[in-house]
Amino acid sequence: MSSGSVAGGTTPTGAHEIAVAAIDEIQRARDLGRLDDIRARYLGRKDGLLTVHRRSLGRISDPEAKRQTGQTINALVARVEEALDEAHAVLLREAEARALRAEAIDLTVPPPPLRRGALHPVTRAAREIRRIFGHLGYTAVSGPEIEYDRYNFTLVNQPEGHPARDLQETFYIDDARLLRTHTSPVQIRAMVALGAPLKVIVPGKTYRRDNDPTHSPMFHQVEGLYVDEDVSVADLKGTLEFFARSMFGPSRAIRLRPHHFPFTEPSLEVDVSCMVCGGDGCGTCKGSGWIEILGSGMVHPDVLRNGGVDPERYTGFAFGMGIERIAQLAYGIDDVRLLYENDVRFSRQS
Amino acid sequence: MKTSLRWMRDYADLDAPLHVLAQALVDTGTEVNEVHRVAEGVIVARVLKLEKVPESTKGVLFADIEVADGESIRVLTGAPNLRVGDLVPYAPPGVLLPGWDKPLEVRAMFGGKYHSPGMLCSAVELAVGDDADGILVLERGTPGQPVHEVIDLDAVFDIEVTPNRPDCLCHLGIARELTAALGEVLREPPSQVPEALVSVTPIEGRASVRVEDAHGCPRFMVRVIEDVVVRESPQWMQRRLRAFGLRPINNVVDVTNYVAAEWGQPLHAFDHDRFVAAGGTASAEVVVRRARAGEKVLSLDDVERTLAPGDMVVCAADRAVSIAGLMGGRDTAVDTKTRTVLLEAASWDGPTIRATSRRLALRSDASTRYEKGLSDTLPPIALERAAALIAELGSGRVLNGVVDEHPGPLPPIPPIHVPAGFLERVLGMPVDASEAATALARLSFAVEQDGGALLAQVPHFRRDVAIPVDIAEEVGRSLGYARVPATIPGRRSPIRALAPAIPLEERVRDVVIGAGLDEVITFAFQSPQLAARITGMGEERTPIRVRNPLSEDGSAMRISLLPGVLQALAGNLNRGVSEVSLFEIGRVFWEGERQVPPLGTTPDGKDAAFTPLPAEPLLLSLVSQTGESGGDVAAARLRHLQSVLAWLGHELAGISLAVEPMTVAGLRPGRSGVLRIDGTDVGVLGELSAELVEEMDLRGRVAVAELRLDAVAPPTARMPRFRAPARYPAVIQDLAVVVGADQRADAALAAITEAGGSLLESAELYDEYRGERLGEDRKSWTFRMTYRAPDRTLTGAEAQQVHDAIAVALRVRVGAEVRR
Repeated sequence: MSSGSVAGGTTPTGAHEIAVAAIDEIQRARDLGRLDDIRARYLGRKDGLLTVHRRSLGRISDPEAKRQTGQTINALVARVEEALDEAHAVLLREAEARALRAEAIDLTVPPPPLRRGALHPVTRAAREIRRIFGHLGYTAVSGPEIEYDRYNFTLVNQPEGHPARDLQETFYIDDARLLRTHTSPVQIRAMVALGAPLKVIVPGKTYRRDNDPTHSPMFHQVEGLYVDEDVSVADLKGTLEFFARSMFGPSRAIRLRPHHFPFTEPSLEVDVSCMVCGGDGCGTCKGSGWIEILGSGMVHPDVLRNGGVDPERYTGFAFGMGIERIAQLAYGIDDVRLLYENDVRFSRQS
Repeated sequence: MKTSLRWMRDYADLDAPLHVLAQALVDTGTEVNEVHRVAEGVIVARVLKLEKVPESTKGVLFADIEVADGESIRVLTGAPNLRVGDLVPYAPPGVLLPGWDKPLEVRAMFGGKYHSPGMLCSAVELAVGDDADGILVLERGTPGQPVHEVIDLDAVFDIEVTPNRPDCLCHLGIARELTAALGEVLREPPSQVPEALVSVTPIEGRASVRVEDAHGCPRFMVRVIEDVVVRESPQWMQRRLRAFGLRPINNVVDVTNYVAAEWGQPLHAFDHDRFVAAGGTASAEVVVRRARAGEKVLSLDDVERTLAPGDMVVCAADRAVSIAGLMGGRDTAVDTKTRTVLLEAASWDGPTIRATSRRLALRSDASTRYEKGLSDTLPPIALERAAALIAELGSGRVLNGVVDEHPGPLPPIPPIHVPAGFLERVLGMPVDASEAATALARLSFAVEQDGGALLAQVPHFRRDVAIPVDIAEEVGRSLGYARVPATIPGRRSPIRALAPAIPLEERVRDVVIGAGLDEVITFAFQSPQLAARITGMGEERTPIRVRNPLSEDGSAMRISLLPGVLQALAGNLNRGVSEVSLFEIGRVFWEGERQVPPLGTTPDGKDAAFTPLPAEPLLLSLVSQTGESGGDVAAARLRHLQSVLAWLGHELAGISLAVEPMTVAGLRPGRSGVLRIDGTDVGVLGELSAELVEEMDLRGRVAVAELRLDAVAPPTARMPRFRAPARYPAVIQDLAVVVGADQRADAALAAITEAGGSLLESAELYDEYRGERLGEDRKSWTFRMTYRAPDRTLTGAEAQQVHDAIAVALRVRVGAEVRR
C-alpha cells in the first residue's frame, strides 16, 4: 500500500488512507505483539506514519487549511488509537481465556485418596460405651489381665469347688495366676482402691478356653459398678435402659430377666428389644423380639465386704457386657470371627 | 436339660398353651432354649384307597391318602388295621419322630421298585401310646391339619438351669416353678413304699452301712428289693426317659434314672448278690470312705479307673466297687440275672465330687447334680419312690426297713428375717408384704408376716437361699421386673472425682489413625517360636507360658505386639490386600518386672504368698508394607512410621524421641535403631529383615516400630502453652555442605543449634543427596536456617555472622565443607 506521505505537505486524503490501512491491520491482528508493532508503525513517536503526517502539518501555510487538516489528522489518530485499545482489550481477554483453559482441571477425576485409618470395630464400640457411661459420671479404670485366681473367682463368690467355675473355662498360668475370665475382679480392686461411693466402668480384655463359631478365646468386656447408699434395682434398670437406648436407638426397650450370677443377688439378664424387627420377632432375635445384651444385678453383700465396703450401709449394682456382642448387634456383624481376622477390607467400612 | 410336658403334667395341670408356659419360665429366671413339639410336622391324612403290593408276602399295602384338600399321595404301609375313610397321622419326609436319630427319608422298598414318601404312624411312633402294631386311627381332623391339634402330643422344653438351682434339674422342680408362676397347685408324687409291696423280711442281716467320712458323705441310705424280674421297662417309662434324653436299659436301671429325672436325686442300684460276693461277706456290708492311693474301680463304662486319696468310694466291705456320685462299678451292676437289688440313695459333698470328676475327666448325670450341692433331705424321698417302682415293675418285694446312715446332717437353713421396707429398698418398687408372702408361699417357703416384715422358712431343697437379698430375688422374680420403674440414680453430693482425661490409648489411636494406619486387635497368646523370633520391645524377655493352652501355637503370652500384627499383615497380603499399614495398641506381659502390686490389692496381704503378677506395659506397634522391592519406597515407609512416632511424642508429651541407630534382632542392618527418652529405651524401629519377611509369609518390604506408651506419655493430656508469635522479620538462609557418608544428622543439627545461639530460631535439614558426582563416601546436606531476633529487626550482617559461625562449627564437628 502506498503511504500517504507527500513530500510537499500533507493532505487529509493521504492521512485518511493511512488510517484506513492501520485499522485494517489492527482488525487482522491476532496477538498483542502484533498490535504493538502496528502501534509503533503508525503512531510511533519518531517515524510512525501518522506521526510523520502530523509533523508535516507545519508545511501547510494556510492557517485555515492547516487547522482543518490538523483536526482531521487528530481525529484519525484518535480513531486508530481507539481501534488499537479495543483490539488490545479483546486480545487480552482471549489470551486470559486461553491461559485459564490451559490450566483447567477436570474435577471429576477422583482426587488422590486421603484417608484416616480405620478403628477396629471393637474399639469403636468400646469408645461408644465409654462415652455413654461417661455421660452418667462413670470413670474408666483397669486391672491386670493376668490376674490372681482369688480376685477372679474367690473374692467374687466363686470359691474353689464352686460349680460356676466350670461355666468359665479358664486358662491358667500356675496355681495362683490365670488369664482373667471376666472383668469382675476389677470390682474388688476398684472398691479396695477407691472405696464407696463408687461409679466406675472397666473396659478390657478377657479370656476363656473356648474357640468355636460363637466364642473367641480372647474377647472384651465392659464391667460397670455403682456403689452408694440406697441403690436399687430401679436404678440399675434406669441406667441400663439409658445405655441401651443411647447405644441402639431411642425407640429400644429393655427387659430384665431373672438369672443367676454368683456375685450378684438378685441377678438379672438384660434384653433389648430387637433392633432388626423392632420386637415383632425375626431371625436375629429368634422370633422372641428380644436380644440378650448383658448380665447384671445387685452386688452381693459378700462381694461388697470382700471389697472393703460395708454392706449394711451401701448397696450397689454391677453389670458386665461383651463388647464384641454389642459391636455385632450395633453394626450388624453376624460372625464374631470376622472381628479377629483383622482384614482391613472389613474394618475400613467404618 | 430336656423336660417332657406330659411328664410334668403328672404333678400339675399345666394346660396353658406352650408359649405361655415357656414365657412363664423365662420370666421367672429359667432359660428356655427351645420348645420342641414331639412329631412336629405330622399331619392328618384320610385313607382313600388300599391296594395290595403284588410283590409282598407280608401284606404290605399301597395306601392312597388325601394329605390336603384334593391332594393325594401314595405311601406304603404294613398295618393290618386300616380301612378306607380312616383318618390317620401321616409323617412326611423330613419329620423327626420321637426317639429317632434323624429325620424321616423317602424309603425305597422291594428292591427299589417302590418308594414311600413318608409314613403313617402308630401310637408308639408319636409317643402317645403303647400300641405299635397298628396305625393310630384318629377320631377327628381334616386332611392337612397338624396332628397336634387333634391329639395331645408331648412337648419337650429344652431348659438351661443355673448352677444355684439343682432343685430345678428335674421334672418336679420345673413343674414347681411353673405352678408358682401360674398360680397352680403342685401335686408331689407318692414317696412311700405301699404296704402291699413290703415284704415281712427285715433288711437287717441283709445290708448294713458304715460311713467313715461324714464330710464327704453326709448321708447314705439303702433299701433291698428281692425277687425282682429284670426286664424291659414299660413303654410309658421308656418314652419318658427318651424324652429326657436317656437310653432305656432295664426296669431297675430305668427306675433309678426315672426317679432322678423326677426328684433330682441320683440313685444307684447294685446287684445285691454280686455286692455280697465282692465283699466276701455274709451280707451286703457297705463301707463309704475316701479312696486309697492307686485304688482301682472298673466302672460301668468298662474303663478301669485309678482313684486318688481325695475321692470318695463305696465299698463292699473293704473292696471299692463304685466311684461315689459319679459311676457305679461293672462287677456289681444289675443285669437280667439280677434277683435282688441293693438300692442306694446318698448325699455327697459337691466339691469332692467335682474334684474327682475333673481329675478323672468323667462326668455323669449324677455328678452334674451332686456338684451343685443337693439337699440331704432328698435321699429318703427318692429311695422310697424308686424302691416302690422297682418292686412294682419288677414284681418284687421291698424288704422291711431302711438303713439310713446320716452322720453329717447339713446345717439347718435358719429362717430368714426380712425387715419391713427391705424389699422395696433393694427392688426399687413398692412391694406389699402380703403379696411378697403369697409369692414365697407358692415357691414352698413357709412365711410368717409381721406387719411389713417377713420371717421366711426356706424349703429344704433350696439351699441356695440364705440371706435377705436372696428373698428379694425370689420376690422380684415372682412379681416380675416389668413393674420396677427405671430411674437414673444420683443426689446432691460433694465433689468426688474430677472429669477424667481422655485415656492415653485413645489419644494415641487418634494420632495413628490420622496418619492413615488401620487398627488390628490380635490375640495375646502367640506361638512360642514366633514370640522368640520377633521380640520387639520384649527383647531378652521370656514369655509367660499358659499351662493349658488351646494349642501349642497359643501357649506363650506376648512380650511384643509385633508378631501378632505381622501375622495380621500376612493375612491381609494373602487375601490380596497390599500396601497395608497396621497398628495395634495392647498390653504385653513381662514376668518379674512389676514394680508395685496392681491398684486395689486387698490389704490382707494374702497375695504375698503368690508369684507376683507380671508387668503389663501398654505398647503401640506399627507396621507398613510395600510390594515394591526397591530400597527407596521401603525407606519412605520407615520414615513415615518415624514421622508418626515423632508426631506422637509431640502430641502426647511435647517431646522429641531421639533415635539411636543400631542393629536390632530381626531388623535389617543399617535400617534399624532404638528410640530413647533421657537415655532410656522406649521403642524400636526399623525394616524387617529379608529372612523374616520370607518366614512370615510376607511380601515386598516391611517397616516396623514398637513404642512403650507408658514410658512416653504423661498420665494426663499435655497442657499446651500459647505465646505471642514473633513480630520482627526473619532472615532465612540456606547452607549446603558436603560431609562423609557416615556422618550423622543429629550431630550436625546439634552443632548448628549450639553455634546458632539465641538468634537461630530453627534449622531444618531439608535435603540430603548422594550421587556419583560426590563419590560413594560423601553426601551433601542442605540446611535451611531461620534467624530472628525477638526484639528488633535482624540485620543481614548479624545473620551472616551467625551463619558463618555455624559453617565453622559444622566443619569442626562433622568435617563439613561448604558448597559454593
